[in-house]
Order: sequence, then structure tokens, then C-alpha cells
Amino acid sequence: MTPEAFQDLAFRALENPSDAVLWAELDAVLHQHPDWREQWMQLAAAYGRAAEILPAEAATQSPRSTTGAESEGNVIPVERLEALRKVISVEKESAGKSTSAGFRWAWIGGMAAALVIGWWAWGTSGRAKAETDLMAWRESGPASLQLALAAPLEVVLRDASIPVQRSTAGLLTLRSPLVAAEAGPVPIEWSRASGEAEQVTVILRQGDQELWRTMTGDVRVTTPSLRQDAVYALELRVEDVALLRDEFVTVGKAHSTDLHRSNDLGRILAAATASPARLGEAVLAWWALPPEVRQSENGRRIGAWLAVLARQPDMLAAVRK
Amino acid sequence: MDNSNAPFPEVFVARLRAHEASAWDEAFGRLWPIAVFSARRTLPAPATDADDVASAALADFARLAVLPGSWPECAAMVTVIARRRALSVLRQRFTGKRHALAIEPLGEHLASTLPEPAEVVATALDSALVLAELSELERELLEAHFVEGLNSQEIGARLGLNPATVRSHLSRTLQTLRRRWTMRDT
Repeated sequence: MTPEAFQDLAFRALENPSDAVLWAELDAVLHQHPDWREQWMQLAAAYGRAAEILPAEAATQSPRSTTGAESEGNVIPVERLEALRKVISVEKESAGKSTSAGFRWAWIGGMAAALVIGWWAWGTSGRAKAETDLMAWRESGPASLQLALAAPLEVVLRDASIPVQRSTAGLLTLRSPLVAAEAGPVPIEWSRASGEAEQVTVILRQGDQELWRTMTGDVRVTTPSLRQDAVYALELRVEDVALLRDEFVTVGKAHSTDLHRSNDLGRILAAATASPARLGEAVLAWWALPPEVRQSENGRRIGAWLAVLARQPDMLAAVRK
Repeated sequence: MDNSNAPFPEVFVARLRAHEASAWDEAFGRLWPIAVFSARRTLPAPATDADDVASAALADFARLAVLPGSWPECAAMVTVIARRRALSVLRQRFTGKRHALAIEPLGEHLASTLPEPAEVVATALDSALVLAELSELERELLEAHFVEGLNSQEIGARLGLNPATVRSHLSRTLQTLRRRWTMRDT
């Protein structure tokens, strides 16, 4: 296949997302030409970005409701409006309970840029004050955290959703480690989309150096003992094709002990929102909290937020119990 | 719909802040067709879930910690949220299938780092200048594919071009956009 033919196949796959035959063909070509994978990923990323940005840009130019308001789908059905009114009613109740109802509706011109810029600006101001005060985090933390601390608990738990880490070809799904692991031998676990037994080569790197490599027909292996406070690159290969790459950090027990001794959810938030973020510390510290703190309302709110941020399905399941 | 970029009047903002039902009725009424359109464009025909997706998207919109300050910004935000809601529905539908990746062109590993919808809206608001630098044909192809939802066959038939030529043009235009968006990000 020529590079031009591959480019054409790649675009046809992107514009026909439910065509299994096309995608299987693309998978096969990428197996044969792993050097084209980067080109494919760039095209897919650009396509995905354009698919979000261009309709949004068009919506700012000519919102659809300006034409044919009477046509099908343009008038909100009464039952849908009623259901949405209930959402507003719940929001109103929630705001009424809050001692600082105003913050949720911090309307500003040019909100989009402000929200993004606000995240970074927040990182350098007011953090020390907020560290031991959940109210302050609710007022001035990252937007996603503000929402997790202020929205009705059932909404926070219902809407929390963890993106799955999958291989680029959709064949393997990494189960652990996700983001962080405790120092020492680290269990690596994955699942297969097809259920077929395949020999998987697991490679662990640090920087440019390959530390360890093994091959298995199983879906889990355990690494040699890894030192703490290091970033490791993990690669899973099938038939010499890299199907999955991810990174994780190792965390020492001492960190989490220091944190949970304080018994302070605010300290966990400080670790999770530090720059660079210490998500591993925060996750382990959350698990190390006394059960009554972990299952308190704020413990569950923070657990749900942290579970999404650090991609921890077990944590999300625990807060939903 | 008032299509100007003028910020909302303070009185309207106050009514929304107070969760006044009539103000939100107006917002939901105006944004509903936008949410439905975005859902229908993302879901495969006949898109029977489009109304469910639109409802969920407007509920998400109502719960945003910080809301847009004008109708066009609201429209852009609802478009993005509805698309992501629709992709979520598709992801559930395709879970476990070999080509599950296909429903998320970004790829799952990139999906985990998706920008906040507000960031997408910010880029969209800035994109008019980027798009103005493209040729008329490039803009027409992008609009037809990504906004109207036509595939390369349909675009080819409309413009009298070979579908492969359409795909080739679109691929190259995407590379151009990617470079310009990357420059904007940095």
C-alpha cells in the first residue's frame, strides 16, 4: 500500500466510524506499517479536534434556532422542559444550602478563556489558605473541584465517569497501574477486547533506558521491585507492534502516611492540585483515611473527583457504595 | 435568537443566577435545537437517542460552574457538550467490539486528556481568523464535512469532485489546522 492510499484509508475510517470492515483493514495496515502509526494518530487527533471546534465555531456564527423554529426538533417538548425545570429546582435548592451561593454563577464576559486561565492563575494564589479549608477550595479551587464540592452528592456520584485507557488499536485495555503505583513490585494488568490469547511483550522504560522486558500469554505480570518517586514508561506489544503506551509514577508509603496522619481532606486536595500534581500520593492518602472520613459526604465528593482525575475505577466504586 | 456577541443584560444574568424558571425556560428553549442538532450529527441515523442526549446536555449545561456570557457562546458550549454526550452513548453501545475506537476518533488515550468544553469554546471563538486564512474550497469542504455532516461521497457529488480528491483535500487542510491550533496553544 502506498502512503497516499493509507492516507485515504485513514480518512475513510474516520468518516465511517461504525464500519467494522474498514477499521479492521486499518488495524491490519498499521500492524504491517508501524511507522505510519504516528501519522495516523496525528490525523485522528486533528480530525477529532476539528469535529469539536468547527461545529462549535459554526454555532457561534449561525445558531440553528434562527431558522425553521417550527420544524421538527426545534421546539423543546413539554416533557423535556419539565424534566429540565427539575434540574434547575435541584440546583436552586443546592445553592440555597450553600453558604456562598454566589460562586456557582460567577458570570463573566469571555468566560471560556477565563475558565482556562483561571485554572493556572489559581495555582499560584490562595492555595496555602485553602489547604486546610474545604470551603475555600469550593470557592477558589479548580472548576471541576468546585462542582464536585457544591453540586448535589447524587449528581456528583452519578456523573463521575472515568475515561478508559485503551490501546491505540482498541485491542488491549490497561487495568493497572493507572497513574500511580506503590513502590516495590508493581502488578501490571490488562484485558483483551477479543478474548483471544496472544503473547504480549511488556516493556518497562525509564527515560531512554529499557529496564525490564517479559513476554506472557497471561493478562497480568509483576515487575521487579521499582524504586519510589520515579516515572516509568510502560509499553505492551503484540507481534512486535506497540499497542499500548502509558506512564505511571511510583509512590512511597511514607508520603501517604504523612498525609493521612493529618486526617485532612484539604491536604489531599493540595497534593492532587499541586504543580506538578502528586496524584499518586493523593490517591493512596485517600485510601488511608479512616473509613468514617472516607465515607463522609466530603470524603465521597473528593473521592469521586479524585477518582476521575487519577483514573481510579476502584475508588469510584468505593464512593458509590 | 439574538446572534450578537453582546454580553447578557445584567437583569437576565440576575434572573438566571436566581434560578428563575422563566429565564431558564428561555435558555432551554433557545438552546434545545442546537443540542438536538449536535446530537443528530454525532449519532448514526436515525439517531433515536438524540432527544435524550440533548436533554442530558442541557442538564449538564445548567450545572456548569461558570456559564457563557452571550447566546453565541452558549450555543458553542451546548454544541460541544451534546457531542460529548452523544459520543458517550456510542461508546456504551460499542463497548467490547473490536472497532470500539472508531466511535472516538481521538483515540481513547487522547480522549482521557480531552480539554474542558470551555477550552474548546475558547478555541472555537478564536477560530474565525484561522479559518479566514484558508482557501474558499478548503473552508467549503470543512463546513460540508464537519458542520453539515456530509461524507466525502456526498461532498464530491455536490462539488463535482472525486471523493478521493475530497478526502485528500480534507486531510491536508486538517494538517494545516493542526499546525495553526498548535501555534495558538503555545
